[in-house]
Amino acid sequence: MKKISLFIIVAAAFAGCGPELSDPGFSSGNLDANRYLTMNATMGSGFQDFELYVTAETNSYGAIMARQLESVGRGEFNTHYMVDDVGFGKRRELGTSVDCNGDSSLAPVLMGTPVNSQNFNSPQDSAVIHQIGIPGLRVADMFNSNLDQANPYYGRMQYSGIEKPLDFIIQAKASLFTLWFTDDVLNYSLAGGTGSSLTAEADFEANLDSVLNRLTITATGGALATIPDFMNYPYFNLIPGDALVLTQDQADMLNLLYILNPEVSFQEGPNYFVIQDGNTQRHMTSEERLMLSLNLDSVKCEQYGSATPFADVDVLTEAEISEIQDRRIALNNIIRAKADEYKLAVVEMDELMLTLFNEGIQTDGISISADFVTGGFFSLDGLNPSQRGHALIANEFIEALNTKYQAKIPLANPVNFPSVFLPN
Amino acid sequence: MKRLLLFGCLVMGSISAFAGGSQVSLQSIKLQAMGHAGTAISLDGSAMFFNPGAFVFGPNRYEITLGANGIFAQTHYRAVNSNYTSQTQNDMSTPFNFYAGASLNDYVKVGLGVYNPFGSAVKWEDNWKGRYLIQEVSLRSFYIQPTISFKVNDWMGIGFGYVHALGDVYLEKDIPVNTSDGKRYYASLTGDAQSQGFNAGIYLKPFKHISIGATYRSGVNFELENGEALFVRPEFLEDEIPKENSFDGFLPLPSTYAFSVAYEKDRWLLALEYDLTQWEVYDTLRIDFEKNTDLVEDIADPKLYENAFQIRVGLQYLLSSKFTLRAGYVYDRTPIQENYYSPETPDMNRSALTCGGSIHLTPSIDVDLSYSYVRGQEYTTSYRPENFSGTYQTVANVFSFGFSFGIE
Repeated sequence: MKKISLFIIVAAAFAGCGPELSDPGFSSGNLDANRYLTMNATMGSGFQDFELYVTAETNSYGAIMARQLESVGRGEFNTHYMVDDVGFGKRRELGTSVDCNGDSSLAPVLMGTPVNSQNFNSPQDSAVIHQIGIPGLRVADMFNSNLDQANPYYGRMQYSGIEKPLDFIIQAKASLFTLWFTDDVLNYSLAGGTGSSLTAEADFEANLDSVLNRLTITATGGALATIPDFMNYPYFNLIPGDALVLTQDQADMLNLLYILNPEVSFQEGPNYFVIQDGNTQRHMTSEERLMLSLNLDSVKCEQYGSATPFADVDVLTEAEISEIQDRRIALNNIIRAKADEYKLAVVEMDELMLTLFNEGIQTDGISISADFVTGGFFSLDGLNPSQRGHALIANEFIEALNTKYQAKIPLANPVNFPSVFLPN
Repeated sequence: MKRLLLFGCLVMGSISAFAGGSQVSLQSIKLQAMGHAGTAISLDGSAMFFNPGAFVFGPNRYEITLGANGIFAQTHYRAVNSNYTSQTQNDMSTPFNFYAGASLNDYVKVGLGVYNPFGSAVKWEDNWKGRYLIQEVSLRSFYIQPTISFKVNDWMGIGFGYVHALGDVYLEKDIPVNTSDGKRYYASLTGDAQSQGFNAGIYLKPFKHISIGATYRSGVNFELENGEALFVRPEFLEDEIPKENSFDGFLPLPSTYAFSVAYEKDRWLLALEYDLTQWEVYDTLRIDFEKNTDLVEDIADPKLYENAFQIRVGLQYLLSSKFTLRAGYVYDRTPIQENYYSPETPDMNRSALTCGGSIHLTPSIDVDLSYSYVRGQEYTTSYRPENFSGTYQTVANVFSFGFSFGIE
């Protein structure tokens, strides 16, 4: 008997002798993390590589945050993701693209996978959904009962009892929320300064106020992010305005074509493309931007941008850019003021972007910067964050909440999220 | 599009297999049970390692000592301000030792020792957070040491050992490239080298019950030449990263000073020891690849190790003619500076409790057993060059078993 008890004592002494790290003491501080709602437009939805798809949504900043909030008391978190990784079919991957001249290069190419119609299906039951990501969503759209006609990304999210996006908020009774509206400025910019106009400041303020008013009935806190200065992003900078390289003969022929237009003249070597600006045709300036959506084949083989001027939709002119920037700054000021009024945290997205554009972030043996494809922050569309970019953004939100509400929500680890996939 | 391919920092960023954690203080099963405090005593052939000056004062004229160890070490990791955790999945490592000695006369004893003074076996979970710093490290060293020991008089011995050192190393880490098929890309380095060193010791027994020992073990510089580097990367990067490459590297192992005092009376033996390991030689890790590209650059990683000490206490009690009992304690200071802490050597200040004993099967045959429990102090630190931080703790259990054969 004595031997047995000795054995038990020895065994007990060794049990629990393995490595054991002390409790890091995570807490939600002054927040109730139980019912977390994340509501986002294009940049926050997970939309990337030119499309919304399930893996991207699963690793969008709101979904990453939901996982981090699990350890500080988050309860139910329902989603309605796309069913696959091509979504509505516009997703591109890095691959070999053959242009109209037969030259091949590495470029974003459409994935050949056929579209599964189930991606368009609405939720089957009426369980409350906590992650709402609607590319194209402007604040005013929160109150639009006809949005399902205009935006299939919203249409597929609608379940019974949801007539307008605001109803997601009413149903969720969030105790904690994060919001990131980008599209009040972005939609207009992506359309080259055409289509729907920039949201007016007064409308943005009134609508944002209504949304926050509704949210804060139940919420103990939340965070709003500002609209970043996306005009620096690769999407608006990869194709230079002076990429029209001509021989003397080509220049002579084009000059003949524009002989009546004193605004346009070509030389041998690089030239600025020609654009249609209202009624006039003129060269682009160094400040004006082309977008990654430009059809390069028509530039290379159909003299688009030279013999035929670029259409308004393909160019952001200096006037449009300054209009966009002024409005962006004004709307960000409204976001800050409203956050202040409702005692919410603010994520200054440009602080993160400034770091990424300047020194980059070195972490865990990798470096993350704003460079296209190799930088890691941007997805293949050069505009929306990659999954790794979303992890960085999730950490910005977490840090903002931790500071504002004396919380200690654990951070995510960007290194564990992929960025742009290389060809195998 | 060529500039797309300028992926920075792809290659083996940091490689150091040698730390306090890699100094394997397991050169004798008997002394292992006594906190490895063996510089002022001579229990068996392992004195060749501990103090060649004491070797000649050993109990036997002819002897063979054999020992094997099983090390089960595990490190837990947690990222800072994060709920991310990981742990190592190390294989058992099995350092051994062998000593054969013979007295030529009353004043001269010679011997040959083979032992593993440095080694490391760290394997992290697949896909863990630090995979771009290190995934797996294995380091082994074999020292072969012919030794001669002289009894100057009844109270003083001096000895000298020449060390022929063999070392081999394997390192593996992931390459930060993603492809849609989720395949793992990694680089591995395999190399070996030979080198030499020595040890020298003096043993004094100025009073009846007290002995004193001091030993110097030289450093050993391993020049790795023509090591094998393998890069498993997407075919897409075949021009930027050659699949097969070779490398030269330099891996210095430190020298050690050991000072010890022992007190022996009746059935009791108490030993106190202070060791100082000159880790400052490990300042920078250099790896030169034969083929360099924009993505495969030579490595010069700052390590900036500091000299580190160990305090050792050992106690022996002769229970009967059949049994001897031993126990000990070690405090082992890490040589790694706070901001240069890489998960390839998850070392930290450690304490060890040791125990064991010998069964005297016959007057000339002993069975030696020992067990050590090594516990590191939780350490929150970072490797600044790669900005990799976390909280670490390592615990090791070491089971040791050996035989000694001796003829007086």
